[in-house]
Amino acid sequence: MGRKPALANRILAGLFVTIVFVFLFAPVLIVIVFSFQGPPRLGPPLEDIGLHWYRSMFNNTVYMDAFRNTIVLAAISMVIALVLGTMTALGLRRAGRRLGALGNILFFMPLATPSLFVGLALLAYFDTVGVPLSHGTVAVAHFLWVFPYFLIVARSGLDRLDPQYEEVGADLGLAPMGQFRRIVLPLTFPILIGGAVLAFALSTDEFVRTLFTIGPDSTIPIVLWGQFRRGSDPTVNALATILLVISITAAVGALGLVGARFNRFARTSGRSRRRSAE
Amino acid sequence: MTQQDSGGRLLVTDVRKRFSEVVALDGVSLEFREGEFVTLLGPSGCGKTTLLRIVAGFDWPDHGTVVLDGQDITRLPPYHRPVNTVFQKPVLLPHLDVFENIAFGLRSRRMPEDSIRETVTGMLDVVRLAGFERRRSDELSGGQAQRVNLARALVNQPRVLLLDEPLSALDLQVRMEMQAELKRIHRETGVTFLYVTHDQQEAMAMSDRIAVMHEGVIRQSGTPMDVYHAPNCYFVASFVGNANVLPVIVDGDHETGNRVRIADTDVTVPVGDIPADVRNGWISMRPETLRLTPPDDAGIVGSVTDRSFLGAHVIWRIDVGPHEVRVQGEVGENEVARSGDLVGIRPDPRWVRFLRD
Repeated sequence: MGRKPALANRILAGLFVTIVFVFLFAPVLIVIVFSFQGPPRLGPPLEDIGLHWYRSMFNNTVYMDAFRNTIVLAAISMVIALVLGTMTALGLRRAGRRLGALGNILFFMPLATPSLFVGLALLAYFDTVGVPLSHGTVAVAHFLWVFPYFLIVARSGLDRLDPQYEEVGADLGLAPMGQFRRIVLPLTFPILIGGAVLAFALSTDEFVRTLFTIGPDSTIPIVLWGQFRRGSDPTVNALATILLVISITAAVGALGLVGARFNRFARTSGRSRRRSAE
Repeated sequence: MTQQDSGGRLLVTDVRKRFSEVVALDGVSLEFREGEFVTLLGPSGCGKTTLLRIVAGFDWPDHGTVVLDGQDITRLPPYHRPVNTVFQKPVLLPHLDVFENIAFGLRSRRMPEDSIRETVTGMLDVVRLAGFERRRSDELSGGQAQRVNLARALVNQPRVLLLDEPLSALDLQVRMEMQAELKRIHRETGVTFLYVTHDQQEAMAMSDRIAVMHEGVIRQSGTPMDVYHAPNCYFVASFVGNANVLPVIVDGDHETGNRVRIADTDVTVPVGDIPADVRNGWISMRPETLRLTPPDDAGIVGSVTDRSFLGAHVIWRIDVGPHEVRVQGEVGENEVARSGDLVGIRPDPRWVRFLRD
């Protein structure tokens, strides 16, 4: 193969990667570190290490309400996306090439639509049809936001599933619903769970659409934004750290689940493809 | 092995199927007797797999009926048909082990647990996989996976077992073993087998009856012997085995006996019956029914272009006018005939077939 890159190139590449990682992780680390700082300041120097801001967060009803709203909203939009998205992916898998392409365009368009536009459009729409802003309206906005992401993930899993697995199920006496429960679901649920976790995470930090459609309530991003406009409150460091821990745990767990199951499935189906090609 | 309920008489009548512009089946009728091993033989794209899928219920015909033991199952979904399929690739369910793969159909029919255990264990013996219960599908060889595939279908006691080129992906040696296994299992279970393949050796070795398919129709249906020695058309003669198929002209009078002239030559060959109104057609001669003779001794004379030693026998390629004729002989026989030699070919009239089309 080719020669080793020159030393200077390797140093430059290493430097570049280091800088990227510093910019990626340094702010996160700073937030975590200063969440343990004593009162009353936000920022260095680090003194009086303790859980002061965590206590402050749990005692703050505004934060706690926003926290609950965020989780409930994320859970609702995740579940709806999981159910409808799985059904859509199953349908698109059976659709012909042309219908499938049309489905792609329609379902993935929201990804390319500016959030400001979607937020405004939804606000105008709810106003026109006379629906007051509520948890319901913001849930609709969040569903529209996370659905295409979930669909991409679900389709990547379901499209890789050999349709012959379902024929095997039918041959062995399973009606379509049984084929789904006993074959499709066991073979693809790690991917669907992965998509659901992604949907959950996307919902928790959605801001613009939320701002337009939530009405009198708040979610964490909305509260944080309001907080920083009024001047900084070190409590947000504690809040951010907790959110970080939750989301990293969920993501790593989901990835592990998806990776382990998906690899084996991919290996098996890959081998049977090779066999049939011989 | 479990006792087979009687049944398995399958009647396919005038089945037609097209996929957009492509006609896959153009009026196929075929009858399967109870416990018969019938093979659909043909090149890829001849419609044999489509016919199997229609019997399985994965596809519905545009026209025609499929009747099993007197019941019309043409429009019955696959999960309500008393037939099971051995798929070309094993497609074992990767989240289940060997035992659960085989038990899958029994569980969907809600068989009690101890019967499942007993039935699956018996089936593992039939396919010689006892001890493999807890293996996962990625821990099996190709031959083992195909045995599981077979067991998974057979354990449901289908009235007809459909086999879609189940051996095509296996190594030659495993394939030969599995042919013997399939014959044994067919004999022991008495289930009607519908077997699809493009491999004529496989079809000959296993079948009670072969239906040769081409371009969506059955060209000939008969015992392996019939199909091999009495092909009824150019396609069957050239596809099954490796016959010499030569164009011939039926010259005006029959005074020379039943002889036809090979096109573009002066050579005439004796044949059996020729329909009265036919002016030209084909003759089919199996290489092993021909004998080499000295050139002055025979009607057909040609020059040897190649001699191949194949172990058990020798194949000579001989140019007769613009045509090539292959002759198969024993080792040691006519060792004199080498490339460039002029030789005679003596056909055995009993094995020369005249074909109209």
